[in-house]
Amino acid sequence: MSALELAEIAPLSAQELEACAFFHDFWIDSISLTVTEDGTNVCLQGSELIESVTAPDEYVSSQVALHFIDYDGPDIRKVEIEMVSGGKFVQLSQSVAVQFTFSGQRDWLFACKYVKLHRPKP
Amino acid sequence: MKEFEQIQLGFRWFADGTELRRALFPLLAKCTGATPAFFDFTIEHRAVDKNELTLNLKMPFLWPNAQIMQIEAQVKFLGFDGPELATLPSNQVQWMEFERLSEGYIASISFADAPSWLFRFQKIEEVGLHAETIRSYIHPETRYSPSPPDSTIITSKG
Repeated sequence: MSALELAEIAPLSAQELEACAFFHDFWIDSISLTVTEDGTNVCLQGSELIESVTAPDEYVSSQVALHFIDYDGPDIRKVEIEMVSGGKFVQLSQSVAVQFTFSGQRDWLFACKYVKLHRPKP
Repeated sequence: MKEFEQIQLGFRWFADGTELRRALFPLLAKCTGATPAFFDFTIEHRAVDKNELTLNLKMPFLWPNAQIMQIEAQVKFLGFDGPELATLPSNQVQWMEFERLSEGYIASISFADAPSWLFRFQKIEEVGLHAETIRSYIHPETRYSPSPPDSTIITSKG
């Protein structure tokens, strides 16, 4: 990710992330996961369905990335990510509690310092 | 009764191992999943110390031999950090999950007719457990046949 792209990333509160509800539209063929060497920063990438600007009532696929800063939870490399079917964010006093539900698997519970949502401009 | 002995052994096994205590909750959830209509869930707020959440669980469930066994458990979460306790729903619990963090745990409680609850806590102070068969139950439309929980199942969830 370039510096310019990083600059476009705006931290969101848990409530704002909850309102996005983008995680309901992740596609199975586009989810990927990147983890820094120390395992503290995690990026979950996928595609979401958004309403088309040129054709209302139609939806197009768009890339989206979630950055979890200071990740704390189970070994992320052991999580088999196929499809995110639900998500929940709760703002705690000094961190954010996150719960992802994967199709056919147990939920993934973890905490992080904060979450950033990255949507590249079309 | 064979089933009663099994569940008593299971609880004693948990009480002996601090690290395994959290595995109790998937066991409870497994039982609630068996007969959710029987599940009763109450919460005691500690107004003096807002960092402590106490859950009082009462969970009757049905065994294949048509006996109803009620489990009562009291769980205290110390170092609680999460939503306002006053907003916690007090209706039926569907599922509970726990995950270890570098310091403490993160937990999720799913309710039957309300949003799930997500919070952190430092440790569980104590788990009080009591189980007894309360009465026989025969319902003409009862078709569920749960398997009694055993230590093998518990270990795999822990």
